[in-house]
Amino acid sequence: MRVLVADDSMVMRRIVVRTLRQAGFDCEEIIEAADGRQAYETTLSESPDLVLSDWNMPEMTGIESLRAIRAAGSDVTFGFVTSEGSEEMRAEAAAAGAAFLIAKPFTADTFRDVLEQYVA
Amino acid sequence: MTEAMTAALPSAPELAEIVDQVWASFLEGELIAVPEPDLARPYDGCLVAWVSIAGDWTGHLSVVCSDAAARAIATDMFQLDDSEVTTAEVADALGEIANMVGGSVKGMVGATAVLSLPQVVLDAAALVSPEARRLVTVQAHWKDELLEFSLWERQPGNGGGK
Repeated sequence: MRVLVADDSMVMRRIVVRTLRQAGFDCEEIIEAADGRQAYETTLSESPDLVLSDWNMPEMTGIESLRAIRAAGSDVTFGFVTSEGSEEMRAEAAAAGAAFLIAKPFTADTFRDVLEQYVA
Repeated sequence: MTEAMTAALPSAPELAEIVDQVWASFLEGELIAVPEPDLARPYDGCLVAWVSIAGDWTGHLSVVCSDAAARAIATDMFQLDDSEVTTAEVADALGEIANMVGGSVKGMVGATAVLSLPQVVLDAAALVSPEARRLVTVQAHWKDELLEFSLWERQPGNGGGK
């Protein structure tokens, strides 16, 4: 599985990758993006199997990035990993084409429970 | 600000619970709450990270700790040795703590609120928060260091405070 992890925080990108592995997911390649625009451009150029994205990022927010990715025709599995998990944001994410929203803080169990239905 | 808006703010025990959840997920060691926070303690030698919340309630969430505590937080979160952690990584880790705690607070104060990106200042003693007053503070000991989490409400025209 090739995974794009988008977050403006270096440490959160590292924690997300670590948690994916702790949850037992086999990541053959990890691609990182430090803002929403990088996430958009890299998703289209690298075609990952899964995008895990923060919501609140510079350049483009995560939701703007997702909308641009869908507008460009990509149907990549896209999920948010964000510090904000209100019902309104979950609905907005789903309407834009997100598969799930994981709220920070999270555990490996959370990743396993949420992701296993989307990852072969 | 109305009483209803005030009621939406987390209480000190609720803020402490949010912090505990972040710690349990991403950091080693127990947080030991300070029963009666010292609001006048000096910030000399401390760092501060904060995120702003703007919407039905407007203010910011700050995290203040010593340089040693901030380095320990970064060491834990990056899973690096202390000697390997850079200043940028310390600021990144402390900012992410503020982001996670502030994100949970934002969820309690109103659906229309907007959360800023985190900001970090390496000298907390030099920081003044004009037009803001502190409403909720939680202090806790962790690895023999004192951590402080505060909610500040923006009040235009107020003289401000530390």
